[in-house]
Amino acid sequence: MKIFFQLFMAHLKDMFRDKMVLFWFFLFPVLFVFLYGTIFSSTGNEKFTISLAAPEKSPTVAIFEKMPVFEITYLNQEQALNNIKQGKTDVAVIIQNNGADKEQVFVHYKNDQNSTGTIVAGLIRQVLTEVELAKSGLPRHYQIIERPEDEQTLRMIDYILPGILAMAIMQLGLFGSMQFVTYREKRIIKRLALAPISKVSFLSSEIFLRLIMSLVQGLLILSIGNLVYKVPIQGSPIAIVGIILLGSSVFISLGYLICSFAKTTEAANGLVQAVQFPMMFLSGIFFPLSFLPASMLPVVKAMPLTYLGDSLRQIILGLSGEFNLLTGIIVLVGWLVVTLFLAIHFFRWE
Amino acid sequence: MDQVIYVENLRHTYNDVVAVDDISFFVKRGEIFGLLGPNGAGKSTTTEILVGLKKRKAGLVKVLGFDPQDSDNEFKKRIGVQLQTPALFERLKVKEMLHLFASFYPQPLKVKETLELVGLEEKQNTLSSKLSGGQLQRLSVALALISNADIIFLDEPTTGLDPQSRRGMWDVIEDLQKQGKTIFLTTHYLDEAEKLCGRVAIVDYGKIIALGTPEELIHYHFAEQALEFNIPVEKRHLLASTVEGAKIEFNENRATVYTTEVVSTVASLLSLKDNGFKLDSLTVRGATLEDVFLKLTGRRIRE
Ligand SMILES: Nc1ncnc2c1ncn2[C@@H]1O[C@H](COP(=O)(O)OP(=O)(O)OP(=O)(O)O)[C@@H](O)[C@H]1O
Ligand SMILES: [Mg+2]
Repeated sequence: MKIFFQLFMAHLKDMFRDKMVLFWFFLFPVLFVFLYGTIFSSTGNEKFTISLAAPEKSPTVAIFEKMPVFEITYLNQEQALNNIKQGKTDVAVIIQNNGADKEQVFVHYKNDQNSTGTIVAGLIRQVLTEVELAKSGLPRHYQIIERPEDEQTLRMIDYILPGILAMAIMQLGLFGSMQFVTYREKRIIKRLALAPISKVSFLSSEIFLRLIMSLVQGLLILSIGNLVYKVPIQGSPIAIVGIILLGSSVFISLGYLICSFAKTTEAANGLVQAVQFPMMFLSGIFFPLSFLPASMLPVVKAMPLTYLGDSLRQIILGLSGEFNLLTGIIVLVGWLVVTLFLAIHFFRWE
Repeated sequence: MDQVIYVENLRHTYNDVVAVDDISFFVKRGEIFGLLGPNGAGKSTTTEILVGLKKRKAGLVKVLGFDPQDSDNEFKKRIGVQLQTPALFERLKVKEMLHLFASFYPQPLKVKETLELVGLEEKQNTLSSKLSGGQLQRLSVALALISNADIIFLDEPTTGLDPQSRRGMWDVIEDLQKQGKTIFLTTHYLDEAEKLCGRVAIVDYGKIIALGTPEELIHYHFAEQALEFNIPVEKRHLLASTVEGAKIEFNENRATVYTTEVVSTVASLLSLKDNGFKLDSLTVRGATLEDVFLKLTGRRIRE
């Protein structure tokens, strides 16, 4: 135990005095969070802008004001029409009192298919018709009962944050294992083999450090996501810790497996790059799998990062994902068992 | 007699290179035993087999009663090893490396004490990647010493050290012996072997070509004294007739004449003066291990 602790501290110091390690394993994912957070943190439900020119105390304006999706700017007629010409507003609404309680509502909008103006015009028509009907007191044949599913709107950053964590966990596992190749290459393993300690405690203290580092990554990334970009963290801490440790184990194990085939650190680096690069872009950690061509799906569905990203997203956001959560966990455990078995089989101390 | 290392007909090959060729020797408790030989003689290979890093191809090896190649931690607790190539955590400080290794052994030396022994007190807070070659070498030796083990294996402990540090290291090694430790060391410095070792095995191409105390080796092979002087290459032929029967070695314009009759040989050499030959920088010395090596192999050890 004393030896395990000493070895752990040795790994810790050796690792944290390496500025590159700090950069790649901690700063890099955090930069990703800030980068994506800044670009993608806007909510999808934007407001529609209306430039409004109306006489005072117009009852129609009161109706508009009750609509939360409308963002109204009060102007005179000329300014309102100018705004629509310059594309500064979705619609320009001019209201004229025709006397005797009647109002004429002119809705100006750009009539092309992509314009939100078309939608807003439709919306205005619908709102006013509804009011009209209610006033007229006519018997109604249709009753519309709306039942909105209480689906949380998923912003891009909500989707991406668990992906960044998955990426960080993968990189820590894969690149972290390269340290062992360096120790082997620098004959440190050979030197330690002469000391009365079990080699297993050397390796296990290294793995233990990696697992702890992955939790630190998780804490760092999720805290920044939550505090700065308001990403909702719904999952229980225990579930989150559990899935991080599982994912981290998979990639540490895969990392050692890959490194068994490399004699030098450079060779290991090449192999690791070859494995992590495709995963990074094909596993849907940064965009939904539906963005990928169908022909890629068999590959995508074989990669552990796909399931780690998806499971993390489900657990952290409390949403359903591409796969059943249980399926994801089973696949990850499967990967762990297989890579662990192979890593032990191919492992070389020297 | 208490033999802590026993080696019989040890043989090791790398593919078709025979690195260790059927050697036998023993090391007594408390002695400094040296393996002396040129590059590639098989010293490191032998050392690594003795400490259990390499599996031998043939032969019998016992160290402290253990067979090193299937030894456990009980064996490793009792040996301290410095390998020829230092291997260290690059980003650990000297002090931290020593603390780490101290934690491995049941009764380690104190870190401070060990630092003083090898003269690294000033560098204790330096990262090991920032050490000079000689300092690295001393740290590597320190890691062997801190074990406070029964046998200390040192594979070329003074290679890369400046003359002063070498002497310092010799003192450290002699002190170890005084504390009752057994030291197995390899070297290609003849003076080092002569100064430190109780017994020396001279190895060349994987074979032991001579074994004994340095004095035994010298006296066995050389009853003579050595006379050394400068002589131009083109005058070499003059010597043969002058010092009849004596053994002569040439090394560029330096000649060595081995003789039991120092006075008469010097007298006859002086007679060469008449042939216009100046006897330059004549020295008389007893033979050394260097002469033994030269006689046995026909080569100098660092050629
Ligand atoms: N790993 C290896 N693979 C192949 N050949 C090796 C290996 N290690 C050593 N040899 C060869 O075995 C022979 C003995 O090498 P060894 O390292 O034991 O010599 P040494 O006496 O320690 O030399 P030096 O003074 O240079 O350290 C050499 O010819 C060397 O080339
Ligand atoms: Mg050697």
